[in-house]
Amino acid sequence: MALLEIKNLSLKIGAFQALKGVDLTINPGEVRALVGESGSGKSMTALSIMKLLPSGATAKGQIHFNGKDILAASEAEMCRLRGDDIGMVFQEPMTALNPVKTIGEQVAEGIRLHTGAGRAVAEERTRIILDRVGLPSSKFPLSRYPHELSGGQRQRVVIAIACALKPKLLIADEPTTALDVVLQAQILDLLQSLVDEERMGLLLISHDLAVVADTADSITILRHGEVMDNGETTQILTEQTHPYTRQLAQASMHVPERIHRPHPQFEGPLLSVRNLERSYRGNRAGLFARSEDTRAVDDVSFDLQPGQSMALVGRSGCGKSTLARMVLALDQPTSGEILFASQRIDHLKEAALRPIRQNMQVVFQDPYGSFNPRHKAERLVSEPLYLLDRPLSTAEKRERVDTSLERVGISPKDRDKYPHEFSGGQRQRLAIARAIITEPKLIVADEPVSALDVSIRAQVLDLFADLNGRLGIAYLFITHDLAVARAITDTVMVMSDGKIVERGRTEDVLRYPQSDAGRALVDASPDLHKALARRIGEQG
Amino acid sequence: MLNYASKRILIGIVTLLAASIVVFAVLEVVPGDPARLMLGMNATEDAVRTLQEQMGLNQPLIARYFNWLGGLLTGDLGRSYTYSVPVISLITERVAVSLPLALISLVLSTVIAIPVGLFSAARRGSFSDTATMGVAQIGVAIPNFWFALLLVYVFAVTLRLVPAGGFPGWNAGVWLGLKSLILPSIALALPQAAILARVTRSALLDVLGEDYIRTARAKGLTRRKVLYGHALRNALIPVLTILGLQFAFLLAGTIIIENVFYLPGLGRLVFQAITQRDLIVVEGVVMVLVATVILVNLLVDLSYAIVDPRLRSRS
Repeated sequence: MALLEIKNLSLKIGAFQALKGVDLTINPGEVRALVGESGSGKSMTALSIMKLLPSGATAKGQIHFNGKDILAASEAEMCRLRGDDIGMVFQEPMTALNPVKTIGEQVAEGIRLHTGAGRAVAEERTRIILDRVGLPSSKFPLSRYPHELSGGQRQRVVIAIACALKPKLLIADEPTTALDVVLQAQILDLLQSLVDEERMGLLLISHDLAVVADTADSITILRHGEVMDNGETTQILTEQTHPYTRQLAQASMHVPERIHRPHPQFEGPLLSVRNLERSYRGNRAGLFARSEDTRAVDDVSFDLQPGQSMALVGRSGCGKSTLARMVLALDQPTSGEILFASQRIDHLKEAALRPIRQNMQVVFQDPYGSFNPRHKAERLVSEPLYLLDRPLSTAEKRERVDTSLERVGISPKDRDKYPHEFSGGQRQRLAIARAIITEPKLIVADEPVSALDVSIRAQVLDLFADLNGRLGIAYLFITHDLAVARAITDTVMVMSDGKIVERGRTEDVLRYPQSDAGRALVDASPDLHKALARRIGEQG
Repeated sequence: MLNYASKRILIGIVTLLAASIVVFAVLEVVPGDPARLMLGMNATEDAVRTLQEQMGLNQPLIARYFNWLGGLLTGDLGRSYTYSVPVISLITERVAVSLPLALISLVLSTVIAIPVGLFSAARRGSFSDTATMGVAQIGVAIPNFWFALLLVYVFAVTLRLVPAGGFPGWNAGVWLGLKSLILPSIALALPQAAILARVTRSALLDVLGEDYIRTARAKGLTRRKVLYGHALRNALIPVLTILGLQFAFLLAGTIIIENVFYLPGLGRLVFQAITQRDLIVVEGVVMVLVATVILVNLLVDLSYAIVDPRLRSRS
C-alpha cells in the first residue's frame, strides 16, 4: 500500500482555483520530487497533506495517508499526525524558528507533546537527533537561541524538529532554496540519509529540476495547479516527452548566446581595486575587552576592463556582498583603494560621487523589495536620472524611460503600472531598466536571478547577455550559483573568508577549479547533465 | 545581559541630568523675576527681596543650578511658598495617593487587556472578535472624566457601595483608603485597557503570520498551544512599550480624574501649584515625574531583554 495517495485533489482559495485534480503517490522509502514554478501549487499540495491551509481554502478529492482519510480527519486527529507521523521542513530557515525559545526547547516540545516524555527524557532524545543532523551538543548546546546559528545550522534544527519522532512521511518545501550551493548539497545529503535509515517517504518540493535530479526517485511536475508530467526520474529527464518538462530542463541548463564584441580601445581598467580591506570591530567581551576584529574583506585586488563581465562567486558569508558595497561606495573600506575610470572613489563625499554613480548602477536580488510599492514604473525607472549633470525636461525624461523599458523588453505602455502589477521576472527587468537608464559603464548585480523561477531566470540572463553585447556594459556579478557565472561571465573570481583564492577564465575555473573553495562550489553545484550521466551510469 | 543593562542604566542617568537642566532652565527663562512672579503684582519690595534670598536668586546661575541639583540628590527640594512646608514632604504625601492609584490602574488594565487581546486574536474575523473590538473602540473614544461621572452615579450615588470622592488618608485604614481608589482606578484603567487590548490583538495577529508559527503547528501543537506557547511572548514587545507609556500617563496625567474624585494626588498638587504660581513646587513635582518616567522606561527596556534573547547578546 502506498504511504501517501492523493487522488484528484482540487483546491479553491476564495475564487482562485489553486489545484486542479492533482494525483500523487509516495511509497515508504521513496523520494518524490514535486517540481514547478512559483504559483504552480506545490506548497498548497504540501499544506493540504498537513491540513494547514490558509483560511478560506476548500479541498476536494482524496488524500489518504497510511490508510487514513486526511480530508475527513478532525483537527485533533491532525494534531496527533503532524510532527509525529508527518514532519515538515520549510523554505526560509532564518524565520522558521521562534526567536525567543532555545533550540532545545523547540525540538523537545514536539517530542514531549507526542510521547508524553518527561523533560529529562525529551532532552536526551533532543540531543540525539541534533547530533544526527550534525549539531553535536558539545558544540551546539540545547541552550542556544536561533539567532546564534547560521542559516544552514538553523535549517538543520528545523529538520531535527521534523524528524525527531521518525515520521513516516517528511515533506520538505524548498528546503535549500535560501542556502548556498555547498549547504544545499549537505542538506540534501542529510535528507537522503534520513530517508534511507528510516525508510521514510520524502516529498521534496523544488522549483529547479537540477536540484532534485540527484536525490529524487520519481518526479511530479506541476503547472498552474495541474500535473503535467509524472514518472521515474531518469525516464522523465531522459525522454522529456512532455513539452513543459523539456522547457523546465532547458531553462535550468540555459546558457545565453553572447555576442563577443572586439574589446574597445581602453586606457586602463574601468574599475581597479587595490589591497582592499574591510574589518568589523569585534563584539565587546567585557568592560574593556573586545573579541578579535573580523576581516570581511581581506587584501583584495582586481581590475575590471570596460565591457568585461566578471563573476564574483563564493559561499554565503564569504564577504562578496561587503566587497560589492564598497565598490558601489555604499560602504567605506578600512584600507586600500578603489579606482573607477582612474579616479579614486573610496572616501569621496556623496556630492562628489554623483558623476561616478551615473556610470555605476546596481541590480539587487529581490526585485520587489527594491521598489517603492506606491510609485509607478515610470517614476521608479527614472529615479537615477537625478544623477545627470543637467536636469531633463519631462518629455526628455519620458523618452529615456521608454527607451530603457524597450531595451529590457517591457512595453512603454506599461510605464503607468505599479510594481505589484508586474510579474517577478518583469520586476527584475524593471530593476535592470532602472540600472541602464543613465547609460552606465558598470552594473554591479548582487544575486540578480536567484529569486526567480528557472524559465524567468533564463530570460533575465539572456537580457543581461544582450545588454552586455549591445551596450558594452561591464558587469560585476555576485552569485553563489555557478550556472549563472557560466552563463554570462568571461572571468571569475572565487572568494573565501574575505580573500580571493582563485581567478581566471570562467570556463577554466569551472571545469578545473584549483582552490578548495572553488572545488567545493563546483562539486556542490546542481547540474542536470552530470546528474543524468550518473543515473544512467548506475543503471547501466 | 549585564552589558545591555549597564548601558541602559547609564543612558537613564544621562537623560535624567539633561532633564534637570531643562527643568531648571525653563523656570529661569520665565520672563521677569521668579520671586516677583510668585508674589504677584501687589507685593512689597521687602517681601520680594526676602523671597529672592530664600530662593537664592541673588547667587549666580551656575551656582544656583548646582545648589538645586545637590538639593535634589539629598532630597531637599526647597520649601513651598504657599504651603510653607518642605516640597519633599508635600510630594511624598501626594505620591502615597498617586502611586497606588497608578499601580492599581495599571494592573487592572493589563489584567483586562491581555486576555481580551488573546480572546480576539484567537477568533480573528469572527463575530466575537468584531464585537469585542467594537466595545474596545468605544472604550478608547469615551473621555475618562465622563466615564468617571457615570461610575460615581451608578456605584456611589445609586448603589452606595463606595465613596463618591475624597481620600480619608492611609491612617484611616488600608481598606478605607483602597475603597476610595476603586472608582478612580476603574475610570483610569478602562480606556487604557481598551487601547492595550487592541495593541495586544494586532501584535498577536502579526506574530501569528510568522513562519515559526507554521513550524510550531507542523509539530502538532494545537492553535491554543501555539497562541500561548509561541505567539504571546513574541507579541509582548509592543505591549510592553505601550504599557510603559501608559504608566507614565497614569502617574502624571491624572489631573482630571483626581479633580473629579477630589483626590489629593500629584496631579492636583501640580495643578494647584501652577495656579498659585508656586514655582518651587512645580519644579519639584516635574522633576519627580520626569525621574519616574525615566525609571519606567528603564524597566521597560530591561524587560525587553528578558523577553527577547537577541537583545541580551547584542551589546
